[in-house]
Amino acid sequence: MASLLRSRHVFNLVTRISGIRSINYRANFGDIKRCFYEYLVKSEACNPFWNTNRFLATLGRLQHETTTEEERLSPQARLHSLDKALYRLDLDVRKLGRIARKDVEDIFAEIKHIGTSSSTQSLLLIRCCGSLLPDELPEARTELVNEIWNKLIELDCQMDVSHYNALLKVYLENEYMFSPTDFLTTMENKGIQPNRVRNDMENAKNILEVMRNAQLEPGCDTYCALLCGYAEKGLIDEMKNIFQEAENNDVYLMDKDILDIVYTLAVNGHSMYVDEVLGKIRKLAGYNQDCINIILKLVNNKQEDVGYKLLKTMPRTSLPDGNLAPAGNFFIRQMVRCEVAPSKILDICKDMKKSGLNETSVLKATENTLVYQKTDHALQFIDELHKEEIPVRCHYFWPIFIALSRQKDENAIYSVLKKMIEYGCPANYETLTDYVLPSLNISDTNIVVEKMKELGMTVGSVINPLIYILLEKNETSQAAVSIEQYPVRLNAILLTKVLATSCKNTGDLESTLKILRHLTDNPERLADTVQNVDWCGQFLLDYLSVCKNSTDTLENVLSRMAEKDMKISHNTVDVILNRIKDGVNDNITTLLEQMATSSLQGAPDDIESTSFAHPREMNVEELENHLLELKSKGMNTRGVLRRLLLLHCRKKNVDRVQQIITELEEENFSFTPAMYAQIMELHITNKNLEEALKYKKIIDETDKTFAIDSHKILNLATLLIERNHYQEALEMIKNHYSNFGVKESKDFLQRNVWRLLTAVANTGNVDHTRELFHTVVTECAFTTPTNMVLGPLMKVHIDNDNLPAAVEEFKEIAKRYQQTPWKGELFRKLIHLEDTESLQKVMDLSSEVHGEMNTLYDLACCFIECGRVKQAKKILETPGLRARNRRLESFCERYLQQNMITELEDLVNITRDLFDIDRDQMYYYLLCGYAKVNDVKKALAVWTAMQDENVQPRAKTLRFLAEFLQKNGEEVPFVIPEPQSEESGSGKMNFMEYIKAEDVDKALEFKRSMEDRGEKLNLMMSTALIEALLRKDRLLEATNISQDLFRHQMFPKSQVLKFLLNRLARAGDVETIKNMRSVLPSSVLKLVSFDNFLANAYINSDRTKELLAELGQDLSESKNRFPSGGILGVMKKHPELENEIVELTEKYANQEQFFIPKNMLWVHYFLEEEYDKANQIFQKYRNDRREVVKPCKKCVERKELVFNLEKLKMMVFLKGGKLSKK
Amino acid sequence: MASRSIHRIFVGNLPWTVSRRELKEYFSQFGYVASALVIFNKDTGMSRGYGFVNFAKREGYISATKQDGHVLEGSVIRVQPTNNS
Repeated sequence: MASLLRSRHVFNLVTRISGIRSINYRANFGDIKRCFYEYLVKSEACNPFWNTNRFLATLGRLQHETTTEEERLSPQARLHSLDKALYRLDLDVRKLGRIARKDVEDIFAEIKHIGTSSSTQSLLLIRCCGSLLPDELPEARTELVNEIWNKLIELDCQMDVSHYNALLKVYLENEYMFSPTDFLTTMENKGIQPNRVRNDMENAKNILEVMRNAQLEPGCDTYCALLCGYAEKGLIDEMKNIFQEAENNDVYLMDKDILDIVYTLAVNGHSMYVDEVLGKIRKLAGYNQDCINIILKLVNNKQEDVGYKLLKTMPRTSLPDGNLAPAGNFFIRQMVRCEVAPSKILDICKDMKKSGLNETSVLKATENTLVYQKTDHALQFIDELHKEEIPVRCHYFWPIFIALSRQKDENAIYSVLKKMIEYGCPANYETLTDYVLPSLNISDTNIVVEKMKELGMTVGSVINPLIYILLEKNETSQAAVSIEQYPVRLNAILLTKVLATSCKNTGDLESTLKILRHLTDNPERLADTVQNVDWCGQFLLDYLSVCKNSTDTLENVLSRMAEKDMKISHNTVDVILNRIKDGVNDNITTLLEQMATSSLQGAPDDIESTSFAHPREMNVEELENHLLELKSKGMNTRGVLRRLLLLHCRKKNVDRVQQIITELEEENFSFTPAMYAQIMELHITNKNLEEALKYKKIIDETDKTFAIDSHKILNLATLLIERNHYQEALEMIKNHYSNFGVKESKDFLQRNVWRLLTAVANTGNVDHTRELFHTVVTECAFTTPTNMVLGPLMKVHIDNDNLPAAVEEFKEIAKRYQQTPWKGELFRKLIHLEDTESLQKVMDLSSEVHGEMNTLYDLACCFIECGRVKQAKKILETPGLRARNRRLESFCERYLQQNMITELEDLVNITRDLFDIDRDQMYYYLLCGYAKVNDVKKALAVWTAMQDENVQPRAKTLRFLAEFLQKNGEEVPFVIPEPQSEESGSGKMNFMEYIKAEDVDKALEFKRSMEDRGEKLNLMMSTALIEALLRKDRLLEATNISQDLFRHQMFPKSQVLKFLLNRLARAGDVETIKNMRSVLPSSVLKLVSFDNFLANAYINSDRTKELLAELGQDLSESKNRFPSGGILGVMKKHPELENEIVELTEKYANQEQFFIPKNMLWVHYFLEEEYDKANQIFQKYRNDRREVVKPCKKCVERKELVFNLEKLKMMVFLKGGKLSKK
Repeated sequence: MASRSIHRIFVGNLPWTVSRRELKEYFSQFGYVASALVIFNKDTGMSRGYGFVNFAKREGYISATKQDGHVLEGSVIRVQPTNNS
């Protein structure tokens, strides 16, 4: 990589300069500079590699990659910050054409720390100190580069001619007057041979050649160079001519060029021509950034007026709220840094404000004077703020006080304090303690207080911070004396801690207790604190903290306090005893009891901490801790146990569940059927049939009406079948269905059904398999007959090695369900048997379902998988076959996932000549395959193969290969393309692969390892994880991750959110859903039809009445969250609630003129074919027909019901209503 | 011990003009603010541009974090829940 930088790609500037020396030995520096200038201008045009920005960007990226290499060697954090800085540089150079000095310094600091620097790092650093830092003054930049250079020499870093080139270029950019001869001598002394004369001559000729070429075909750069030349001399007429000539030749100067010309005019004293030239500006993309760079340079050269002129030409950017963003903050900053006279800055700032360019210009200027510690100027600007009636705040003065304290100028400090009073913001507590008093001589409190009083400050506002500072300095006795002298109210909350510390340090109990007494007797009255606060107690707690809970000196403190009759609260006594534990002795206990009184409230510290999280929000560990705590206090543990039982069931901790059951049983707790069902499920998962059946029986006995979730029944049946109890399983399912029907949605149960049928297919009993399929899928319709669910019907034959039966079954299924389960397996079996007749049959069936093309691809892949590559290739040679890239990719993905590398190779090989094939993509998969099995040689061969095949690899492919090679310490034989975004991608790719493979545990592990590093999954990844978890029925984990997202104001896409809500609703988890209402923004709530899910949760947890009650309350509020779909579900499921619902809809209609409930009632009647009732509603609300009709119609259209006569009538009627309205 | 429930939010991208007082004032509209803090660089005396707000009750915390965007003294400020809430 470094060789790349050193090689031909980078122009050898030193060679050039010495070449010039040899041609024109006496040339002065100015001439050399001009030559250089010309040279640079030309070379930009003729050599694409010497594009500063691109060069830097490449460097930054290379750097980025080298450092990942080094990660193993140095501490992670350090490199991380270096990485970050390098990334920032890279980005800034590309986007802005400038970088921040801070970033350069960061890298430099890192390199200093590490003690060495690679060739690339050094080069990068040096290169950054030139025009890429336009907001630094050239002198400062030169100083920086020299510092860096010397350090690099000192560290004995490897340097070659490219480093000298870079240094030279920086010097030129900084207009630094250096001696080229000396420079060359130094180089030669270092043993770096810049050139040989012969070479130089050649190179010199090159330049001339370039120039001559340029003259032959004058381009943009030629004109620009010429114009700059004239601009330097202020020859405006000549300039006009050149502009004209350029235009005639259809050459248009870039905005950047024009700006360069403007700059040249301005710094050479020809500002009067600026306007003329500015007229040529076209404001193309990037104009603002170029403009900023030039304005900064102008300000550096005292041309702020021209700078301001340019600023006004810049298009304004908008804020998210549509207003224009304030302009020119950078300009103000630069003026402040360059110490433009404050009056001048103020003039410009005021004009900026007046012209609406920047409303807060004066504040901005003030900020910068403070940041850059221009104290005198800062005071002038603050004064201006005051004049403009912009509020002045205490903390504006903090940087000033810091500067003054460095100058040890007490008088200046006092006068600033006086100013603050004038501005209406007398120094507050923090200002005095943190910024003023530490730099004042306070050995005599009186003097300080008197001086402050003289300024106009109140004694109270001075004494409080003064006492604090004295205590902090362990001047306890002086503090006590001061309080006696100035008995003001004290801010106890800020003082107890420091008082405790000083007491511990000085042992001066006498003074300490004096102060404490004063605190308790004269506390500062704050409106929002509790009265009668136990300050003595707080002091003791702080004292204990300071002593690290040791009781060595505590007894003494306590007895002295008791002597003085100081009181503490009972609560504090408890906390103290709890804290000192082993250190407790009789005397301490007696003293504490003696001091305890009920007239005081707990120490403030404790008041704050009494609120605990609600058990519902706790996780398992917290709950377990909470349980211990409750136990130790002898409190009721049932609620927590109950919640723990649920959580441990979900986490499948059998042992702990057993313990909890025992504990609950000991307390004669009455379990609900739902809890039993949960326990039953746990046993099912653990394949403990006996226990599972036991709980099933208990449930049936406790509550016959309780409907166990269908999926639990299906799982239990699966277990039964696995233990050879087929008949029991069948009976149980039938019973369950006839009693409760199916509550869950069909796709939710698909996997459960599949597992059930697979279990029966595994027994090899064809009849059983068919019978069970018929019961579960056809009769009970727990799920729809998908490919997956139909699979076991095929499996049982194939397992039995009965191919004819399998083919027959396949035919049946294909005809009946339009599905082709186990097609691949069937293909492969038939290929092995070379049963072409059956193969043709299966192909024909498959073609009917999937079409011929897809079937051909499937077959070809099956041939590959059977090792019959030739046949596979033949199939793909079918005339007219085009590449189905998506399908091919899915094959590749499968092979990749299952490590079928040979198959992958074959597939890539035989698809070579396929029409319209995405070869790069195919090779990419192949590379992924080789990377997976870590075959470097073959991976590299892919790159060669691609060249042989003349396939242009995409950036993604190259980066992938490069990363893989580097990981294995191989050299990368090509230029690595720039990454498109910050994401390195590899981690993310792994993660997404886990998700794709549905390996949620790996994904979760990945998440944890990221969090260990202090990183977080991004929204996209989190969303994918939530979805994957939901698919695996891991609702709790999915919920937790979602809630974590919500806490960070991030919301997964609505599809996934709905998925989650659906599952929660199905689980009847009303509370969790309800809690989400407060965290989800209303827009999201609406988008996911939140209220319907909530309603469903109520329905599914048999809490429908609760839902109705809630909807009946506070109608004006509830109508906004009325679950129109949900209420339909309620009416369908609970016909017995009709009256209540009717009543509710009446209430809404009458009280709130809110008709949607009525509508839904109508829809319900309509769907249930109770047309009389529907019509009644319609008649009754005739006048509000529009309100009622609208949704009704929508609903009718959507449902597309089979029309019987009545319905048809209704439709006509409705349509009539609609029509008349239109 | 169960974790203390602290209703604390992180506030970033604060303009330099904002001190704890302004921060507290602004967030008081969402609920009683027990305390507010802006972090300053003790060496320069300048605001580091971020701070924390402790709400006395969960309600304030929720409504502050739930609001879509916050603008304080012309700057769009960043509001995030802290981890230990």
